[in-house]
Amino acid sequence: MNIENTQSQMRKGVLEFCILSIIRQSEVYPSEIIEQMKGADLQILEGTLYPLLTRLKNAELLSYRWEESVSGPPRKYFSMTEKGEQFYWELADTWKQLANAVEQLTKEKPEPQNI
Amino acid sequence: MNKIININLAGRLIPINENAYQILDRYLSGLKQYFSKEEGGEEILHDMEDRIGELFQEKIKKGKASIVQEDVEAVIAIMGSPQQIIEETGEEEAGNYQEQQTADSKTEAPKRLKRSEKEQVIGGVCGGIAAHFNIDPAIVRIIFAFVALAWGTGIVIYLLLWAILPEADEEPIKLRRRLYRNTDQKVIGGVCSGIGAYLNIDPIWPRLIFVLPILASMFFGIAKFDLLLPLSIGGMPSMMLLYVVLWASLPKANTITEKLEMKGKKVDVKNISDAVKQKETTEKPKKNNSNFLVTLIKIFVFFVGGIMLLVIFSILIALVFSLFYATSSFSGVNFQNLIFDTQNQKIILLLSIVFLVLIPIYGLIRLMAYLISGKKIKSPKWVNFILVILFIGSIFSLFWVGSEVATDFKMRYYKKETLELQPIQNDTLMITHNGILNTENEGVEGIWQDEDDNFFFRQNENKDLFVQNINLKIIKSPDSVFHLEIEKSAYGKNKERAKALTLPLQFDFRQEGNKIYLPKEIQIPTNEPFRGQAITATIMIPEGKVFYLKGVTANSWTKRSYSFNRGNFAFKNVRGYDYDNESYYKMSSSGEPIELEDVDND
Repeated sequence: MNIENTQSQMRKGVLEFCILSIIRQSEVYPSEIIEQMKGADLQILEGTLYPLLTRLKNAELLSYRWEESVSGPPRKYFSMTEKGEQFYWELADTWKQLANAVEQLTKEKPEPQNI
Repeated sequence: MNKIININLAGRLIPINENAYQILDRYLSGLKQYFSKEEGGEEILHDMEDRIGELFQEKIKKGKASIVQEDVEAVIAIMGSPQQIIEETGEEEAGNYQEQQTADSKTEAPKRLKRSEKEQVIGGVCGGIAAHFNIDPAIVRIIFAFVALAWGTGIVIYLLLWAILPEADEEPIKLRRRLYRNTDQKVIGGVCSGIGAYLNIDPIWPRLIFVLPILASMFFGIAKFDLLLPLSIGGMPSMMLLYVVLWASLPKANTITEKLEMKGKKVDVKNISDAVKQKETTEKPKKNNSNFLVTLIKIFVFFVGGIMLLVIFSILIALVFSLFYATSSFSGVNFQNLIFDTQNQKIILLLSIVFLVLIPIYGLIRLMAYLISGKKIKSPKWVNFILVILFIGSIFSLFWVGSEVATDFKMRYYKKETLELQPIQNDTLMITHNGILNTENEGVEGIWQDEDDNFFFRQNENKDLFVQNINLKIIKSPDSVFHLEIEKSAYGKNKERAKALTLPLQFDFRQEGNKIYLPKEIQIPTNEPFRGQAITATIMIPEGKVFYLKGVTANSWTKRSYSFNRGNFAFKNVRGYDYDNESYYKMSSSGEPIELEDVDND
C-alpha cells in the first residue's frame, strides 16, 4: 500500500468539487484557481487542473470566455453553467454527508473506562 | 557555450537556453502523447502551455535573462510529470486504456489473409500480409521489392495476390513493433540502429552485416581464397543499394511513441513518461541534420571509404608478409645476417618495420571499430602522441639503416691469385665440384630470386654463411699449360673495409690427377655481413686440349654485381657461356671451345 497513491486518490475525489466551488463564487482564470487553492493550503500538481477543467467544460458543466489581459495573451475565464450548478449542489450534498461521516469516524472517542 | 533560443509558448515569447528547451520539448511531447488520445486534448495542452509560459514569464520579470534547465525542472515539478498528472486525473481513462490493450491481445480470432485498406501504398497486399503475420509492412514491402528485382517475379506475385485477396475492413494494425530509422544512434542514416532496436539486438550486428562484404573481401583477399573473393566484392554494391533502399523507405522515429514502437514497448503512459524522464537525465541533445543529399553522400563515402580501407589494409598486410620474408626468413636463412652489419642495425630495422606496419593497422582498426559501433574509442592523448612520434621515428631510422648499408656497397676491392696446377696427364681436364658441398641437407638453404637468375645461399648449424657466388670462366691459355686463376672481391664503404672483407675469402680447390674439384660456395667469415663477396675462377685451357664438365651448377656461369639502393638490395647478372655438363669441349685457336660429339674417352 503506497501512501502517496492513497493521498492522491483522496485528493482526486474532492478536486473537481473544489474547482467547481471556486468557479461558482466568481468568474476566474486557471492561475487564479491555483492561487486560491494554494491559499487554502490544498497542494495539487498544476498539471492536473487543466485536464479537469477541459473535461468539465466538455461535460457542459463549465463555460468560458476569452478576456484580454494586460500582462500577456488573453485568458480563459471560467464560469458555471446551469447544469454545473446542479452538479455542484449534488456534489455539495455528497460532500456534507461524507465530511460528517469522516468527522464522526475519525473523532477521538473517549476511551472506555473500566470500573 | 549554450545557445539561447526564443520560443513562442502559447502567445508568450520566451528566451530559453537550448538544453532547457530540449527538456521542455520532451516534457510537452510526453504530455501530448497522452492527451492526444482524449477529446479536447489539444485544448488541455494549450492551456498547460499557457500556464507554463506564465510561470516562465514571472521568472523573466524577476530579472532572469533566459530560462535555464533548473527553471524548466522547477516548472515540471509544479505541473507534475505526465505520469503523475494521469494518476491524479484520469484513473478511468487509464484503466480503460489498459483493459482495451489486454482485450486486444486476447481476442485473436483465426484470421484470414486480406488486403489492407489502411496500410496501402499500391493495393494493400503488403499491408495485408503484414497484418496477418503481425509484422511491419515495411519489411514485407522490402522483401517484395527484392523479389521484384528477380526478373519481376515479385510483381507477378503481387498482382496475383491483389486479384485473389478480398479487401478487408479491418481495424488498424496494432503492432508491437515497427521498423524505424533510429537517428538517435546513427552513424550514417540510422538504418542499422533501427534494425537493432527492432530486433532488440546491439546495432553492431546489423552494421557488421552491412560491412560484411568489405570485411569478407579483406579476409578472402588476404587468405587468397579466389572462390569467395569475387562474391564478397560483388556484395558491396548490393549492400550499399540495400542500405539506400531501407534508408529511403523506413520512416524516422521522431516522436516518443514511434521510438517506443521501434523498441517494441507498449505505448502507454508509464513508458512514455519513463522515456521522457530518461531523456531528461541521460541523453544529450544531438544534432540531426539528416538532409537527403547529405545522407546519400554519407552512404557513398562510407562505402568508398570502406573499399579504400580494404585496399590500404591489404597493402599493409602484404607489406608485413614481404618484410617478414625480406628481413627474417629467406626461405629459412636469416637474410638480416647477410646484409646488416651490427646487431644495432638489425634491432633498429626490425623495430622500425614493426612500428611502421602496426601503427597504421592499429589506426585502421580503430577507425573501423568507430564506423561499426558508432562509438568513439577513447585513448589517452599521450598514447596517440607516442604512436605518432614512433611512426615518424621509424621512417627516419629505416632511412638511416638503409643509407648505412647502402654506403657499405660503395667500393669494390679485387684480389687476383694464381693457383698451382699439377701437370694434366692425358690432355683432358675434368672439372667438377667439391664433394662435400654437394650434400644438400647441410644447413638451411635460401634463394634470392631475380628475374632471370637465382642467387643461392645457405647457413649451417653453426650459423656459418655460405653463398653460391663463384663464377667460372673458361678461356684459352696463353701458353701450352693449364692454369687456374681466381679473383676475389668484396664491397665496402671504403677501400680498407672492402679489402678486409676480401682477403679472408677461401677457395677450397683440390686436384686429383686430371680432375679438379672446385668449390660451389664461398664461406662468409662468421660475424661479417654479406658485401657481395665473390670469386671468379678462370680456367685456362691450352689450344687443342679438351675439358669435360661434370655436375657443374648452371649458377656458376653467372657473374654478379651488387648494389643497395633506396632500401633495396639488388644484384645484376652477367651470364657467361653456359657449357653443358658431361660433354667434351676442345679449345680452338680462336679461344672458342668446340663441343666434341663423337669422342669417347672412357
